[in-house]
Amino acid sequence: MSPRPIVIVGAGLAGANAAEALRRQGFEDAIILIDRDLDVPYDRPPLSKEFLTADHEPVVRLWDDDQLTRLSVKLELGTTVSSVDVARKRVVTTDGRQWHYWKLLLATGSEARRLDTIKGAHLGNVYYLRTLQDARQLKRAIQDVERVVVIGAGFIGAEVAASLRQIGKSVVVVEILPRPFERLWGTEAAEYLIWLHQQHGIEWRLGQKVLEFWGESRVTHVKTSDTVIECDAVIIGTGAVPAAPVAPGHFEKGYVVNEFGQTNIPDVYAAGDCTTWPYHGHAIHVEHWDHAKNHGRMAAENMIGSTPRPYRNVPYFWSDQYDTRLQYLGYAPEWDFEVIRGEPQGGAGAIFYVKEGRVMAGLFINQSKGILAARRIIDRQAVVPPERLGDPSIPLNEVTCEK
Amino acid sequence: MAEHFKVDDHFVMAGYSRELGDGEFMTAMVGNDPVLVARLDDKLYAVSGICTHAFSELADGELEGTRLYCALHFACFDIRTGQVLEGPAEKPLKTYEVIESDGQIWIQKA
Repeated sequence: MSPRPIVIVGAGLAGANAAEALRRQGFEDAIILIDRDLDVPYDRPPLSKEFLTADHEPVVRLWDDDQLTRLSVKLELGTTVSSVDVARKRVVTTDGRQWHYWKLLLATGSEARRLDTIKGAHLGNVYYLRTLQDARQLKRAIQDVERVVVIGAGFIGAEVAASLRQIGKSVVVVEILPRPFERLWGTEAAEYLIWLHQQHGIEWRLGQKVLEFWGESRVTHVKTSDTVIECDAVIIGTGAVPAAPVAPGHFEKGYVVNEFGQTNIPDVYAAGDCTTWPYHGHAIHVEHWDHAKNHGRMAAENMIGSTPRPYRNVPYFWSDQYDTRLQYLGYAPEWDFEVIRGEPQGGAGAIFYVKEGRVMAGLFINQSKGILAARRIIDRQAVVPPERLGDPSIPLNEVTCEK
Repeated sequence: MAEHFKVDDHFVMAGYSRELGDGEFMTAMVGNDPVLVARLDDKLYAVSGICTHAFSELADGELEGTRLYCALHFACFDIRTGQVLEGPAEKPLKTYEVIESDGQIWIQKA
């Protein structure tokens, strides 16, 4: 029996990166990685993009067989955790097995927000996209369909819509908000994105609520608050919710963790999408690839390290839609004004979100140059004169220092 | 430096020596491949200009001493050897021979 087993629940990016980090730090005891998914750990970002557009099935595995052997992680796939007995330090799975842990990492991720209560949601050809199995099913299904309705213009919805257009499907996107992306990115960016999708042939149904799906066995129509849309398939991309808690402990839009990744239960850590974590005095929740990767690694290092190190990471995500690359750094639920740099609406530039004089976040549209400098500014929430921030002739690593 | 190299058909010109200060990098095309050339402490180094992780031009990133950061997922490479210093990249960057002659910088084709 291993004296110091570490159990990781969830083999997504956070869990997998945690396992890798433990080995990299020289941890030699057992690592048990449990997931109800049947596939070995894989990368999700391609699933809404090249996975759908490529002729073949792209490789999305995070570890090849060699790495899997070298990591010596005990993978318990297709295994669902039913509870955690924190007094006896045991993870209990639905098949009746129990796993003792020395330290436990909860990295259970998110799930697609479902529309099960809507009439007809059970019909054939109504899809979600979250897992590799979902993506395979969707990839197969779209070979034979022409007209697809995408519900929700979040990032999954927008990326799937773009991918489907790229392979020649006719795509209607139904979105409940009159201007998707506006709350996150402001009016300029929202209008640009709506325009971008229109340019590529997306038909928007904005400000419309989905009421019913119609069809005998397979979906044939989507009824919205304004109209009825004929279709051969529906893809629901209405966002994600943290997976339901499997362990006791403070849970509020995810397990609440401190800057070291610890929950309020001794020896229980949490990382990635399934957490709420401290950032500049706010408890925030994000569903970003970059965060999952870094948070998982940090939690793992703190589990076995003698001196815990606080997590410091600027929230970051990117999204590729058609030939447009969007990169967003920071966290700005609200802001006083935006500073435009370059020509984001012309297809290359940045928008910065400023609150009380401080640069809280930035959106980069086809403009990766300078993003590392911007990340330092946003990390410090620096005060930058707007006229300098918005002047593309001043490099971003020089905008803070007045000459 | 590297006097046994002779600039011939196997080399493509990257630019002029005066364009590349210490601690800076420039990009050049070798065939269809962008290559990054950097000058550090009077030595020249050249590596592939595309991140080995996902498609991203390293010229959009930053060079901090010998550490070259990608602007897409923040992978980090040692520009002298191409080795990965920080993920998510796993494969090293390809390196190229680079020489400086008569105020010009030349990269050896692969």
